[in-house]
Amino acid sequence: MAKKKTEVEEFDRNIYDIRNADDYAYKIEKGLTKEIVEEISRQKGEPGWVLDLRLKALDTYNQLSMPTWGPDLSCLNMDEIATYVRPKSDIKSDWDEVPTEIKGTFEKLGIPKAEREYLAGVGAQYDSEVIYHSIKKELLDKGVIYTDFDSGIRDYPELVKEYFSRAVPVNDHKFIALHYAVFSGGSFVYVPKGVQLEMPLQSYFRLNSPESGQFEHTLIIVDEGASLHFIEGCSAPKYNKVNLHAGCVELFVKEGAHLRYSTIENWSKNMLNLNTKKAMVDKDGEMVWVSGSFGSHISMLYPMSILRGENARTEYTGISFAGTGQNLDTGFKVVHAAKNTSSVISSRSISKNGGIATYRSLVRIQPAAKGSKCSVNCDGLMLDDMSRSDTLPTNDIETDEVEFSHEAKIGKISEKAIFYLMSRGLSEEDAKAMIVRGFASPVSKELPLEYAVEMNQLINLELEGAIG
Amino acid sequence: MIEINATPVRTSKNYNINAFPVPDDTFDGVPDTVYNVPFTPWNDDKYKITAEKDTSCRRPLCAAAEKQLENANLVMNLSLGKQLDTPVYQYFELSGDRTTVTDISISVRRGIRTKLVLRFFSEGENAFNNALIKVRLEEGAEADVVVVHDLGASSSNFVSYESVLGDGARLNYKIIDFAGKYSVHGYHAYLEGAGAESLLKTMYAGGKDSQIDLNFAQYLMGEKCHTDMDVVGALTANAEKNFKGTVNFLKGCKKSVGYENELCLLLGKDAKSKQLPVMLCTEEEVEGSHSTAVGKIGGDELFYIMSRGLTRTEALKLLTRAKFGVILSDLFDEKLKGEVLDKLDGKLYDEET
Repeated sequence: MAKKKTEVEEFDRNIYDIRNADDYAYKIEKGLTKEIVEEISRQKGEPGWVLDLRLKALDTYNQLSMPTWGPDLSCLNMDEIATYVRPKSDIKSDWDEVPTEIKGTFEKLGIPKAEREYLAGVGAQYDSEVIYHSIKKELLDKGVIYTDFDSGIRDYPELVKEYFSRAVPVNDHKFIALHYAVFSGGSFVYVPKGVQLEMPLQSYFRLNSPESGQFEHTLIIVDEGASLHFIEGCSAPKYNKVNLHAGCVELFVKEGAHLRYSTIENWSKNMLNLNTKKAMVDKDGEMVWVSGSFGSHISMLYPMSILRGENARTEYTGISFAGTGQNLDTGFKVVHAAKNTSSVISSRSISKNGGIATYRSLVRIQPAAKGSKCSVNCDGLMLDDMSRSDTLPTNDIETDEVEFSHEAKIGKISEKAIFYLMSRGLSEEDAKAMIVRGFASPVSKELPLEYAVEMNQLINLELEGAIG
Repeated sequence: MIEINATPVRTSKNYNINAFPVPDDTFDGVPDTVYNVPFTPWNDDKYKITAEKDTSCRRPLCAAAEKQLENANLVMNLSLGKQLDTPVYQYFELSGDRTTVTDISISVRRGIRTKLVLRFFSEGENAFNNALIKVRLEEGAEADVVVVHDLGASSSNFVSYESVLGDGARLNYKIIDFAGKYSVHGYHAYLEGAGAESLLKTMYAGGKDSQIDLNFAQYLMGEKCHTDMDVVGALTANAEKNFKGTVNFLKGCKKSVGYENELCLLLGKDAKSKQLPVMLCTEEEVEGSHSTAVGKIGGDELFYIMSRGLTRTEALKLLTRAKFGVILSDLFDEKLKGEVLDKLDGKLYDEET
């Protein structure tokens, strides 16, 4: 009988696979039509300008063609997807008021515990609606806004209107047009000038209903001199049919502000994850992305920073782990649009058991971005010869006053390194697992301790039976 | 517009690098003259040159270029069956106002080593050339192939290269391009045999209005193959360049290694560089890496050289030559190397930019 590693035995995959009954207050019919979009808007009781945007987005979606690059998306049939599912709970600010079954799921995912111990605020979305939201009172006193996106539209219409769809326009690509047509849920965050949040905020997205989609919209504005660490988590139980996630994240980092956006994504392996994330970074602002992609059947995920103010900076540290049946096409995009901007990009990918991991990126340094610097590093690790690992970085340099470098490596685990560790008493399997964890350490060290532990546990889980 | 020189793997259309757009009628010209190339004197028992076309080609730049190649007016089929003591030189002087369609095949038989220089040049500024250059190396064959393109400032040069390597074959390929208006190169090497080694060293220099598109792909198919792509170039004025390099580790190429490196010097304020260094891997036991860099000649380096008494232009020339050293250092013909470096100096620093 194959020996299991100690670390694997400590971690229970089942917490992600909890499948509650498909019990909802309302589920819209499958498909994507004008009537369905109007009905979603009616169900949500939105102002007219939001419906206008949805209908415009639907037109755009119908006009745009499917991407001619990247993973094959032919398994997606919008006629089989319900785009809006309202759970049997409205938004609460006390976990005790959340229905027992839903609360139980989030308890097992560790969200309330995390809130008690090290988070400044939490939002939890179940299917299409946010069912729990809270923020520490002292932050409210400082003027911090952290609420669900529907409440943001209702309670802060001017602020939302000023920024909504400004970073990611409706016509950016086909699936963002889909998003704007049917979006629901998500978070709205505003951190006033000079306010520094010592503890992170976290939103967790859970999709329970089969053959449905989640289209949450997250809008974060970190005003001048302020700072925030925002954590996003997502998971879903596995079904036999396709589920779709096409969320959108719009981030605005104002002058001298700092935003760290960390994601641990562990969607189920029937999920198409076609998410869009973009940050607009002003003068002296800093945007840090930390991203771990473990789940989903197909991911097309390329967070983007637009450095539009002088001395703006961005960092991206990401890892993806593609296993059986997975095609994870991930990477990063950055546009340097102002003087003396800088970016540092570090990506790691691991593929095993027939998984496909692709790093795809864009670095664009515009003529105005004189004195800019960019460094890109991406490494791929193949754990067997059934898998695939590709890197496709595009670098578009339009000014002579620039320092740009790009490095990439691909290969297997070094036999010398395994030999060295085995000579120190480790088994071959444990040596390989240790090397893989070391390979992923640039990402895990960027995460808060609790999330780094979760990520390492996910890696151990993915490695079970994959090496040796 | 038609799109030519497409990458083996596509990426987002917004990146504007998958293919290179040229006017619809680019390949419509029909050559009306058969070039009188002095092949005959070289025919002897060691090698054979004929005007018979080898019609097999896996990847022309596009269908229109392939169709035009059916009417090639400059055909050379070189078959090397015995060892040569001296390099083979073939110069192609192209007319400045005439369509030239060139079809060159080179076969190097088992165990033979050879050195070959193909030099395309034109006294006129408006030369047009659509060329296909095929190199086939049998088991254990070795070839050093140097192709120099110097067709004038307004020229259009479209070149497809196809190389096929058998077991233990070794190909050291050098492409030297003094680009005109359009300079499009599609190079595809198939390392079919075990232990095949394909080195591709390319240098380019683009001036005013130059548009350069380099699409280089190495397909590693046999075990223990080795490929190394080095590309160094410089762009002045408003020259634009795309470099698309692909190292493709295909199933079965266990224990192979592949590297690609590109350095682009931006010497003009409006010069633009795009790079897409791709690595594709479906085999576990391989090692691959790529690196790219873009910049200009560094201030500190320049200051140091100038403090030794050189003028700014002399210092720039010296430092530029040093950057190109990785490409030219192993060029077997010192005279040719000197001519290339002199031409480089003139192209980058003496012409009006």
